[in-house]
Amino acid sequence: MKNYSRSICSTCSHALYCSLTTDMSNINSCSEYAHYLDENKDYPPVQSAEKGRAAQQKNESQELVLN
Amino acid sequence: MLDNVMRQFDNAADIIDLNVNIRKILEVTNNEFVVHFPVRMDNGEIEIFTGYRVQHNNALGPYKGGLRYHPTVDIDAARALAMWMTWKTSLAGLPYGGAKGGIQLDPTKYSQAELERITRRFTYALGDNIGPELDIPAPDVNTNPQTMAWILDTYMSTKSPAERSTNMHVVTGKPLGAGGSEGRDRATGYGVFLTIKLWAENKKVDLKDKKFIVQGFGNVGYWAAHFLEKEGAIMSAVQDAYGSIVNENGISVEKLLAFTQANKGSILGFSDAISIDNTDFFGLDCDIIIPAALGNQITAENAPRIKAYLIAEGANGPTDVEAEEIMLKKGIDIIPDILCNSGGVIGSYFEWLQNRNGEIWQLDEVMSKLEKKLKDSFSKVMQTSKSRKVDMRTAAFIIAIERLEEAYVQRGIFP
Repeated sequence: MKNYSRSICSTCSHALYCSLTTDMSNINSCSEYAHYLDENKDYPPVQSAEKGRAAQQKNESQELVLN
Repeated sequence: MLDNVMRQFDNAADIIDLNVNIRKILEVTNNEFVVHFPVRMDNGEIEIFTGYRVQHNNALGPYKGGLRYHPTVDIDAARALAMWMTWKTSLAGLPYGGAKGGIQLDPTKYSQAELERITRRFTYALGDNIGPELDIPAPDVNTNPQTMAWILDTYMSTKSPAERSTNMHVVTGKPLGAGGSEGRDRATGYGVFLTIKLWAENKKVDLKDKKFIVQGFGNVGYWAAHFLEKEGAIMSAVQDAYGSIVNENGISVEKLLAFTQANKGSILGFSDAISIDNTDFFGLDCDIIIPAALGNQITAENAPRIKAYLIAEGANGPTDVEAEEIMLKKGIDIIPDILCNSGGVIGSYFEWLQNRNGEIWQLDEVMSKLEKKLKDSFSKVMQTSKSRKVDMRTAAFIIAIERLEEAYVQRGIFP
């Protein structure tokens, strides 16, 4: 796939055969964009704030906060 | 992108003779954040990411705009898109300003667990530069309700227990179970339909049996077609990434949706229609064209062949400057993107309001409020178009900029 440095087409799986446009040089939004996250619906469960806090506290000793 | 947004702004600013000092303010962004943050990958290595958040203007309320994950994300792209959001929220009459941002990455290269850690660490890096009354992100390219839920959870986790539930409206576009709103899925498409319906009422055109064609059968294209079909209009052609199909007698919107869902998203092969050459699509015999996919689709090349008398811009920037001139000369009306697809951000506003007030609205309540808000925007655009003798796009920009101008004139500049 070409490297369209200013276009979301650079990572769209439809780009090789896309019937919508031949000028993929500067596309910044598209309804047909192959959405990576939507293709991978095996999401981990959403944590509650309390669980998140507990996990954060648990990790404090293990992870170095760099920022 | 920035050139295009600036050109539209300058055009409207010249017409209304915008105060030179207010023009100076609106031409630049208020704040631009670039954050570099480390994230641990699944293999144990640390990778450094670059994230952006550009806040263009907050004269009317908190900054509002999407977060995208893509290699093309940079400060220039974020500036243009943030400015665009300022005009959009202003025209819609919302108490919001404009913002945009994201992370420069290719999401296909990361696992779900890595994307979650990247999202959470980006949220942490932005810290209190976003907030429910300061800057409210929303989904964009490669981000979705799950991403918003991660941001919400991370942001809330940095607050004291007593404050946590007061921060639900730090992002919009959340999943329903995490504070999302009913109707958010169809808000943009319903807005496209509604602006067409309002235009038809204004021009005394009955939508029954009118033929429309849709480019893009994603969320916006599908819902716009769904509501138009319910109104008695006939979808005669559709184009998506795979090709173009037509049936002069009508294509059932629901049957086509069911077909695409069973056909990896493609419209090609739908038994009740025939395939046509993609270059013939916009020249098809129809009354209404809904370009709901991407920008620069109606050009000087295909505009002379257009037979429709209305273009409803469901996508952002589907009509280029030359094509617009050609079509306006031919008497074709264009409902501009900034108005036509504003249902989405209005839907976001309703989600924010519900979270802020501790309310949960039913679907019919959301839709009726959306209708009221869009009717107001639409009638203002029509009135301004008539009184200033300008096209609808210029009228929309005039309204958006004058609302901001009024805020600055009344409030003055500190100190």
